[in-house]
Order: sequence, then C-alpha cells, then structure tokens
Amino acid sequence: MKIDFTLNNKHITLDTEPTKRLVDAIRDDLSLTGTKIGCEVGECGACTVVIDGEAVTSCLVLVGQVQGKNVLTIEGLSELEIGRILQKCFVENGAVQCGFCTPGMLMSAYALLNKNQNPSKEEIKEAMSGNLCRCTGYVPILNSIEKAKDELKTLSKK
Amino acid sequence: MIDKTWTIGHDTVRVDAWAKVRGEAKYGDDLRLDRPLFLKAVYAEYAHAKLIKIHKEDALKVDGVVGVFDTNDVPKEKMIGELFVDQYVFVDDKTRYFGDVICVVAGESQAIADEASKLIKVDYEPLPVLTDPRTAIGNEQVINKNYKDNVCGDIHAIKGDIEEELNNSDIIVEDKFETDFVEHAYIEPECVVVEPSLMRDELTIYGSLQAPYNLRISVSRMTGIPESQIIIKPSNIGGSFGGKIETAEAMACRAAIVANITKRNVHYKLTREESIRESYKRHPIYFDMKLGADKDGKIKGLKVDSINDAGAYINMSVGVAYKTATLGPGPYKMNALDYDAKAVLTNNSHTGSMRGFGTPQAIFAMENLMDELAEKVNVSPYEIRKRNILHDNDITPCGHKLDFINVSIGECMEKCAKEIDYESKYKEFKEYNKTHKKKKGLGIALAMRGGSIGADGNGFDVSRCLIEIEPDASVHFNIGLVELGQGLRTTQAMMCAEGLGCSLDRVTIGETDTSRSPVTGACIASRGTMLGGGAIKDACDKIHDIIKVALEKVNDEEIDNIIFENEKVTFNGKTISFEEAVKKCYSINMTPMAVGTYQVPKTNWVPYRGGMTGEPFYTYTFSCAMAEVEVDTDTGFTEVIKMVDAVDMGRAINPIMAKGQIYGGMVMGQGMGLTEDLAHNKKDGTLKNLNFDNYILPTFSDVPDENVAILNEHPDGRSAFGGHSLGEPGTETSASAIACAVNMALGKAGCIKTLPYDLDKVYFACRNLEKEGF
Repeated sequence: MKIDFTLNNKHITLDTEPTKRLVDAIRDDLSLTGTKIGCEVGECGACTVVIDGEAVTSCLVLVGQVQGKNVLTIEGLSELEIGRILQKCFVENGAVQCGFCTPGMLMSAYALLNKNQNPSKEEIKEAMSGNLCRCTGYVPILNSIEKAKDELKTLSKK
Repeated sequence: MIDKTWTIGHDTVRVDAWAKVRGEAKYGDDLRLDRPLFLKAVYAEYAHAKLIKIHKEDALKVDGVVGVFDTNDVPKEKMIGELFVDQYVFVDDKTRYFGDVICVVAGESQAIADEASKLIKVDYEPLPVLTDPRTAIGNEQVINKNYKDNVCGDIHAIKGDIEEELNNSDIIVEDKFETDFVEHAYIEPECVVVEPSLMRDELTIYGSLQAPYNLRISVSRMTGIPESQIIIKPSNIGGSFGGKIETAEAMACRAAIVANITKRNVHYKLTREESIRESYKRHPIYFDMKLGADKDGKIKGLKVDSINDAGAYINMSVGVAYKTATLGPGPYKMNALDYDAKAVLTNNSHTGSMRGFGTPQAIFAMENLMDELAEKVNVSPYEIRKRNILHDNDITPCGHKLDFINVSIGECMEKCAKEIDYESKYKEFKEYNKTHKKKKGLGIALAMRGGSIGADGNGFDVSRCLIEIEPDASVHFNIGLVELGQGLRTTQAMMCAEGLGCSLDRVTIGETDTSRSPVTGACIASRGTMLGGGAIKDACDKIHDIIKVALEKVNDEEIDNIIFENEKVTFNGKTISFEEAVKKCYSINMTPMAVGTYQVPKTNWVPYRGGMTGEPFYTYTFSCAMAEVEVDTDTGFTEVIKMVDAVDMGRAINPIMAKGQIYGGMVMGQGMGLTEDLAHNKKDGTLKNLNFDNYILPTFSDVPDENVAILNEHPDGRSAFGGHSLGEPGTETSASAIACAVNMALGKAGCIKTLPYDLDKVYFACRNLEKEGF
C-alpha cells in the first residue's frame, strides 16, 4: 500500500505494509537508523519521533497511521533552529554518554520546546519522563534543556 | 583546586558527541551489510534438564530458512569464559538456566527466523532445580561436575586475630542482609554482526562488544581460525556497565559459527525480553555479619560470611567474591578482619560483572551495620563513621599501609555533609519524625575502591596502545580499551595529547579494531583511565626518545634534557615547535611511532591463617554518598529528595564527563536501592520482569534535580596522568545511602534487611513497626 506523508520536511510516498510498525519503516524501508529500538513496548522512549508536533514512541505506531501526517526524526532535527540549539546544548553540557537514548531524548525535548518555549523544571521533567537513560542520571540532560530554553529566549528577544 | 594543563582538567566535548546528537553514530543493529542472515534463538524451557532431542524438521521446511544450528555445529571447543571456561554457547548435555540457548534458526529475514523458531520442538528430561545458593552448597544435585559441592570460589580476606578482637569488644553488632538480582539495563539490547571474508577463513565481528580481545580468543577456540584472522570492531555501544561481555560473546560465537558455515553475513540481535532472559546479572549476595567495637564505637574486628549466587555459570563470580571480601569492610580502621566470600552455582541466571562488582551489595550490608553500631553507641551515623575512617598512613582492613596516597575519605564525607547540610538536618528530621507520618531520613555510605583488577589479577592487568605521529604532525592513536559511553575515548585522546606535548586537535583516536590496536585486556574494573594512561605514557616516552635521537642527528649535538610541552619542544636552550621536531624526525626517515605497554605492578597479597592478607590492590579511590529521602509510611513510597556523591578519582582528566559518571552512578544506585526487581521465581529459576514495563528504572520524574556530583581530586602518583577508578565508585555507594536514609526515616537502623526497598517492603516494615509503637 502507498503511504503519503511528510518526513523531515520532505513529502514522500512509501510503498509498504500499512501494518508495519513505524519504527521498522523508518529504520528498514527508509534506512534512517538514528531512531533506536530499546524495548518495543513504549517504555524506554529510544524510538521517539515527532508526529504533527507530538512526541510519540514509534514502536507503538503503525506506518499506515501516519498517512498525510508530518513526521520528524532525529535526521531532520539539524534543519530546525530549536533542534540545532538542543543538539549544541546536549553536546556542551554532558547530556550525551552512550548516546543510545539521545535521539529519543532530543525528539521529546524538541516537541516540548516547540510547544512551550518557557517550560518549568517540572514541565521538562514530565515531558521527558517517557525517555529512559541509564548513563547520565538525567541531571545533565535537564540542564541542557534549560540552557536551550535560555538560548531560545535570548534569540526571541533579538 | 588542581592546576589545569593545556589539556587535562578542561571540560572537553567528547569526540563522538556530534555524531550521537545527529543520530549518525552507528550501533550494532544500525549496520546494514549485504543480504545478511538473521538469527533467532530457541531458549531452554527448563532451568535444569537433560537435553534429549531437538526436532528441527518443521522449521527447516519454512521457505527462507537456511539452517538450524546447535552444539553439533561447533567445530572445536564448545565452551567460552574469560577466567573459567564453563559456559556453553549452545546447550550440550543439559540446560543450566532459563537463558540457555538450545539452537539458532537462520533465516533470510528476521520475521522468517522468528516464525520458524516457534516450530522447533525439544525433548527434555527435567532435573531438580537449585535456586538458593545457601541450600545449593553440598546439595546432591550438582550443576557443574567440576564443583561437586556447587561452590565455585571461596575468597577469604584475613587480618589479625578476629576471635581475640571480638572477645575483647565492649559492643557486638550482629545482623544478616540480602540483595537481589539487578539488571544492567543498558538501553541498547545486544546485537552482533558478522562478516566473513571470501578471501580466506577470516571473520570480522561488529556490535555491542565490551571485551574484543577476549571474544577473539573464544571465536578462535571455537572455530579453529587463528586470532589474526578474527577481527573485532566494536560498534558504538549503547551502554554496558559490565554487561556486554559474556552474553555478547556467546552471541558472537553463535553468529560466527553460522557465518563460517554459510559464508553469509549474519545479523543477530536480541529483543529486550531475550536480553533480560539470557544476560547475566548483578549478584544477589547473602551476608552474615558480626562486628565488635569498644564502648566509644571504635571497631575492633569484623567477621563476615557471605555467599554470592553465581547462577548457572561461574562467569566473574570468583572475582566478584574477591572484591566483596577485600573491599566490603569499607574505609574503616580495624584490628582484625575475617571476611569470607563464597561463590555458589545454582540454576538461576548467571551473574557477572556489573558496575561495582560485588561491592554495592557489601557496602549496603556494612553501612547498615555501621548505623546499628551508631545506634548502640548513641551517636549519629556521621559521628560513628568519623571515629572509624582511615587516614593517611593507616592500615586498611586487609592489611595495606596507605603511605602512598591521600586518604581523602574524611574530606569526601565533609564535603557531602556540607552540601546536604547534614548536621542540622539530622537533628531537625529526628524531631520532625516524632510528629509526622511522612518521615524524613538522611543516609551515608562510604567506600574505598581498589584501582583496576587487583591482586587476583596479578600479572595480567595489562594494557597496550599504538601511537603514530604522521609527517604533518597529526597523531593517529589506537587503543583496544572500548568506549562504552563513559567518555573514555575523549579521555584517552586528552592523555595522548598531554603525553606527547601537543594540542588535542592533532590527535585522532581510531575506532577500536583488533587488527589495528595491539592486544589489550578488556575495558573493565574502572581501569580505562589508569591502565590506558599507563600505556599511553609509555608510548609517548618512547616517541620522545625517537625524536630526541633524530634531533641529535639532524643538529649534530648531544641532548641531555628535552621537554615536550604544549606544542613546544625545548632542548639545549632552544625551543622549536612540535611540528618542526616531527618534520626533522621524518627528514632523516626516522619514524615517531611506538607501542606502549603498561602493567599494574604486582602487589603483596599473601597466604595468612588459611586465607589471604596484605595488599589486595595497587591503589584506591575513596568516595562518600549521602541521600535525603522522605518516606510515606501509609503507602511505603520513598521519594529521594537529594543525593550527593563526592569521589576522589585522583585526577578528573575531563571534569564534565567525570561528573557524568557520578550523576549516572547515583541514579543507577537509586534504582538498585528502591525499585529494580527482576521477580525471580524461587521454584523454577525464571525471571518474571523481562521488560521495562515491570522492571522499573528511575525516570526523569523520580530523580532529584538537586543531585550534586563532587570531584574531590588528589592526583595519584601511582597513575601516569594522576587519574584512577571512577566509574564504579560513582555507583557503589548510592543504593546504601538511600537504604540507610530510609531506615533513619523509619527510626530503626538496619530496619529493612533486603534490597530493593520497594513499596511492599517499606509498607510492611511500617506495619510491623506500628506493632512496636512506631
């Protein structure tokens, strides 16, 4: 079946089984391996992508469900200002260790800052609580998102 | 503050950070080799059963199935193991635990292999299952015929005369403690990919491989292919914490056997459920403790009998017992020690290396006992520790005189106490708890960690590297100690620049590749910085000698003293640039390239009174963690309010990543302390919680954003660049600090005796305390 959707700001048509998991379509059919698979039950958040502005675990979505929607993966993040700022802040503030949770973390953080440019600490923690990290203890990631928030504020004032 | 050099001590962006934030870093499952075969394992249905017959026929009829491979397809040796070779990669005579693999199905797609694997039928003859190491000792059921009583290791650390000290004590504290299985829970499940060469019998193996050189030996022994033709290139590794050694190695051996037979690329990944089912765990350990002290609470002697559950295979259980026995007594002064640590085989998941390696459990037991001692002496937990900690030139519980290192445990404790405001909060909480149902607690845990493997590795605690300066004065550097996420490659590159005397941006650190890096041991035992640093220093010194000889020849002069520092080379009153020195070297076709080797010096660990005594390690890291909690006594829910951890890692080469180790370690300890439970079934040896929906890791919402990581640096003269162990010290204390804090909230030292302190346990402890007028 042909599935039309926007992926990382480009319109694409994918000919595949609509019942395939979105994460498999992204990783196997489209060869975008930045989206990771960690648990396949929606608990770890490593496969998080952004669909129409919402952070979603792509292991729980079928590719047929994204017909006509706007899908953003880690590979498209560098092309967006909020994405670039988040990436820079993650790099500079020690938010990256093994890096396996990192794409999912960034996608959740992007979805948050895209909706709310001034989230409180509690709002950040809530938005990020679907993404597990075993390396960093979360604090450096929290600090990175707060730094990104501050940079966005400075930009919007200019 | 320690002075920074031009490289060391500066927060440095890790070499792989940008690739990771762009999603470009490749992990095992991201590799896309040409037309790979996909594997699916069939697991044992019984934890202990004779294997009678495997019925493969139906699976082999499935379109797209290329073969089903079992123990009969292993051409040479059938077992693997790092220290003890006892683990079958395919079940041979009998199953030993639920994660044993009977066979693998190879198919043209993962879906084909998955479906076909369901058609495999296996006949078994079940045997009695042993799930408690305490009753497994001397049981008539024997798991491994080489260990008739099921005891596979017994380490006995002894100092002084324990009976005399206990007899002369004013106070005796006795108690028993237990810990449970803990999952590593790296977010990346294991994956290996094997590519056979069509030129010769050569295999290249990629994936989540923590110990490439050990794997190379195993594949060679199993296939008969020489080590030079087995090339291991670990991919980016999505977390390990000691966990991607034996399991990934068994997988790689299976995949290598299939690749060698079929001459096809092989892609073999585990689901999370398979990963938890098959992989080894942190050891459950049972402690029986007796401590004697004088009336002021000064320890006179400690006697401990501990039993670790090795599970089905020995794995690292004996080494774990070694660290339990030698480091379990903590950084405390005592006249006598008698610490016995046994490792016992059962039909549970095998247990092996996990960050801490037998110490987080022992610290949990010891620190609870210290709190019980404080209660008897009627002083605070802080005061009892202050009275007993080691200082410079003191002798450790095992008998090691600390005259070569800053014994900074007292400093670590003071810094934590200040940060968490211990003194005033301790008094305040005691009062507060008298009138509130939600109760507050503070907990302290101290540790001293031996650097690297220790005396049980005397002689093979070695590392090597290869450094080459190119004609344009850029540096290519290869080392086989693997990046696991901790930031080691960046640290190693920094030490390489420091050692050579050049800027960091000259240094390219190659991907780990056993065909390009000289053989080195595994990246284990929190030794990457010290061991790698030693090898790097050796190579840099050799290269400096080569450049010196070259300059002498080119300039036709003798050079007594030459200094390489921050891009400058100074000799005979002259200073030239690093680049110029390298060019002069190449101008007469000398090669500034060297292999560096470092071996941890042997230490004096000697037989004594039926056990061992002396110097169990070459050097030590001291650390202290404190935790503040609030316990809802109606529900049993524990909230962690704040954690502080001060670690003396010698020198923080890259401070931002050093802090990262501590932040991450604290939270890993929080999980062990409060929520992580694999739901082990004592009847049949199975684990119920096979995914993160039931095995509960701390999330963003559970972790205090007030956590503080303190770097308490005192450069270690026994390490080339001053840094020693950090990864394990970062995590070994926090579960205990939380446990002690919960017990303080409950008003009774050592109240809950088993980890984790989950909802049920704390709830029922509260109900029991109510009966006592809580």
